[in-house]
Amino acid sequence: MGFFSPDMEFLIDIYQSETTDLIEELNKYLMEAEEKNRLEADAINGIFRVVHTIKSSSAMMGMADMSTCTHHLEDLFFLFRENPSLLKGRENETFDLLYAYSDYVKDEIERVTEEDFQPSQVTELMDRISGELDCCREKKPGVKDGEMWQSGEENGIVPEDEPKENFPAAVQRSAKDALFDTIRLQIRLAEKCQMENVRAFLLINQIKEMCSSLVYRPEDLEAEGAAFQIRSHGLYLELVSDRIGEVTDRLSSSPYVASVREVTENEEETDEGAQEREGSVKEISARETQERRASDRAASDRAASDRAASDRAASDRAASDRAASGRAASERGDSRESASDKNTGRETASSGSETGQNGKAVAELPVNAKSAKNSSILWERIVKLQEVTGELITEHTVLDSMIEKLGNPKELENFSLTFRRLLTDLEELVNSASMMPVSAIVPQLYRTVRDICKKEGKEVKFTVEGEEIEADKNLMDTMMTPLIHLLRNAIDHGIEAPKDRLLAGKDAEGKVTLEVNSEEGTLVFRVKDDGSGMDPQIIMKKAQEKKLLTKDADDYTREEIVNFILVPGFSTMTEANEFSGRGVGMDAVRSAVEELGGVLEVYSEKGQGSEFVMQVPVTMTSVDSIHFMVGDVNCLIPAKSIERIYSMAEVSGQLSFVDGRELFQGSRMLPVLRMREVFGMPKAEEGEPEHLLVLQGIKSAVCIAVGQMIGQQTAVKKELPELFDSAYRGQTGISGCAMIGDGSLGVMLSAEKLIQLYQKGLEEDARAKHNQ
Amino acid sequence: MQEQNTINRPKDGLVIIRQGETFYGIYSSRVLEIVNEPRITAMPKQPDYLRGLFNYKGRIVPVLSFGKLCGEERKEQERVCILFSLHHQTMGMLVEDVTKMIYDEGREIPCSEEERIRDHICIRKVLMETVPVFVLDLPEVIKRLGTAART
Repeated sequence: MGFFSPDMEFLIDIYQSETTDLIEELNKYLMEAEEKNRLEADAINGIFRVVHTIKSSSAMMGMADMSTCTHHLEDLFFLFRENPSLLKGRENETFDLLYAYSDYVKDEIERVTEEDFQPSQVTELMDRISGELDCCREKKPGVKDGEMWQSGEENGIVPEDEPKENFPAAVQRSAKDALFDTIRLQIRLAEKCQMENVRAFLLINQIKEMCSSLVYRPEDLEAEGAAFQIRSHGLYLELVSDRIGEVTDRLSSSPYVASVREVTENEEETDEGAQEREGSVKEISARETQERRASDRAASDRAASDRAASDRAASDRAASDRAASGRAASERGDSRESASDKNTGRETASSGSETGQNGKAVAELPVNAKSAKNSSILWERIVKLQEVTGELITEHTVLDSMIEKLGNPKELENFSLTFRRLLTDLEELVNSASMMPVSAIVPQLYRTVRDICKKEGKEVKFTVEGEEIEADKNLMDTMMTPLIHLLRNAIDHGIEAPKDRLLAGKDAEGKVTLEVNSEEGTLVFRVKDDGSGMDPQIIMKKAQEKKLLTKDADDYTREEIVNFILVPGFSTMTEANEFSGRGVGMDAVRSAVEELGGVLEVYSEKGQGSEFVMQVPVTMTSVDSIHFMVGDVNCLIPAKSIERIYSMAEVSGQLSFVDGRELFQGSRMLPVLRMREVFGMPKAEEGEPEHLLVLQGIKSAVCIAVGQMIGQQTAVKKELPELFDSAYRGQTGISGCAMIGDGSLGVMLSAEKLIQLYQKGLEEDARAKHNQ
Repeated sequence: MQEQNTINRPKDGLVIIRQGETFYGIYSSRVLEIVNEPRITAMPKQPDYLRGLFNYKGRIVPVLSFGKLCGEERKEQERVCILFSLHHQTMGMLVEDVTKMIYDEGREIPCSEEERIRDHICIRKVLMETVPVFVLDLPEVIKRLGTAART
């Protein structure tokens, strides 16, 4: 039996996804604050709001330690909110504390879906937060534990003269605003939606910024039995809002809300009187919502000037807090809304001037738009959609083949063309949905740089160029590991200690830059540093010791020498440290890049710095491919990789052997790979058609000798099962498989993998010969 | 192979496979589908125990030869593919025939010395009606494949 009960499983996913988004938001605030070396009011409010939400949702999920720890942090940020000067001189400690908290939550949240999950101990972090809290309290005496925001600050500003007993669970703001009537709503949640109290909490969060006063029952959503009460009687809201249409729209559009009904005063259902009161309860219809909206706008206009005057005094103090907290809340609302809109195809409920604030907030902090895309639940759906689209395209290929067999009847051909156009539209949509900007991975990279600098005592200015470039999320996720590796290496091996830099006539602060560009169907990641660079002499010495040379040492260019660091197990470090030096890093980077069909290049100048360039092809759902045979194996290769196709008879005079390697003399001399040999098949029989394909990779080219050419088709690449591992793919040049016209499977070849296959064979032969 | 009927096994049915003259059983909870004469694509340089790949609802699944595992491969006779799920992976296994599905645990009987070869892949031997059936231990089958792949 795990920590959570089985019927909470799908809520765990939501909790995980939302908390992950919140931690990303926290990290974004942190990254920006650390760059400025201060926490501004917006960031303090934003962080306060983040931790407040994590505290509440964790409590509801029964994560007591996380909730308590977060509660302490919330207390600390309450103090900072009240008195930002408390932060002065304590910025670095606060950043460290927040990063430690972010790590703790992230680790816990990553594990919550594990079957045997148990919350971990958090004593040390709790002590650190308590220590900070005590420290701040000493500076601001009179505030006791847990007292700080219970006066109503938690959710907004409560006017002092408001009779609190009438608003037992109030989200109140400017409640004196009597220009709008109090509306009482009963929200019925969908049957079996489970965790009704969590749903209620999220609903209230979504609408509270639109209400000048909001009271809800059950009062304590965290209390035992709250979920049951909501399930039995509904959630009751008593609210005042000048945007009531929008409020009801927002409530009705929630996927877990079954109905939203207006009820009369004192009409709340009790255990004794739970029967429906149809006469006095009315469903809020779409038409009525529209009418309400129109009336809202008219009333808003009328009330605007009066309200402005009467509210000004009360709201001045609240304005900055509300703006910040409101923004965070509405951003989260927007994120959910955009996800929901995508799923249901509904139009966004917010519109006109009232969306101005939300729209601006999202624009200011694009991380939230990205967060919605990052949501694991939403991402799973996109992946599923990609798979289904791929299947449709594959089936269309089979359909085309059938139509061809029938002699291409005009009607069927036209139908197929229309079908294909629709599929292309769908594919484009799905591809665009799976894209994410480079900016989404920046906080994690920044964090890596920060941590190494702290531990190594180095000063680095890390910049990212091309943050706006978008790429497929899978590709970006795969690139994270090599990028982190390169950044670690750049700081650990490249950037010198500040005093050494000053001695070398450089700024004490080193520069590490990540540049991302999109070039001809590929993404290029450049990691540059202005550190010490690599010493070719040391690398050459190590290469000689390891017997890696394939020719005389003097024949090596500087670039070739530097590229020795990509050989497995190569490291010039005499000692390994926490970050690097074990000789596994660069090989792992190269493997990851090659696995994606990309190339890795290294440039370095001693004393000036190094540059690592990773160029990987952009992934697409479908690719135009050329279909041919190698023996009885159906093969496909992306058409864009093929430069020329020759009949073997046509070019037989241009083939020759040099040092046992077959070469083709066309416009340039290119190596030839006989695919039958690569696949371990016997030589072609007499009379079997043979062709020579010239393949162009990212940097190099190769020719492959194949059998019969079949034609061109759209192919959807499918991953090979785990049994066909990277070693297998490296030995065969096969990157995946795809369905061909007759419905059977063909193998997908990769030009880059074939080039790598040839080069590795060449290197091994040369090394063996040289070391003889 | 244990002679006592003490193994903690799921209470589900057995899919009975015939391979030559021998009968084997796989717990039905593992079985996703049974496909007659599937279209299998052989891969270049594929491991010996593999027959190729099969497109199962858009997912590419490796298909093993059960005969090869038992050391009794008769390639032409293996026409039925049992798709099963193990350790979050879907795999196929080509067998000669699937005879029936039985919701009966049968009566455990001891193995003879000649049957020891099956100890590696079978949990136990049971008597179903009058027919002896070797119950397969699929995790062990996959483990053996892993060993075969490494060697």
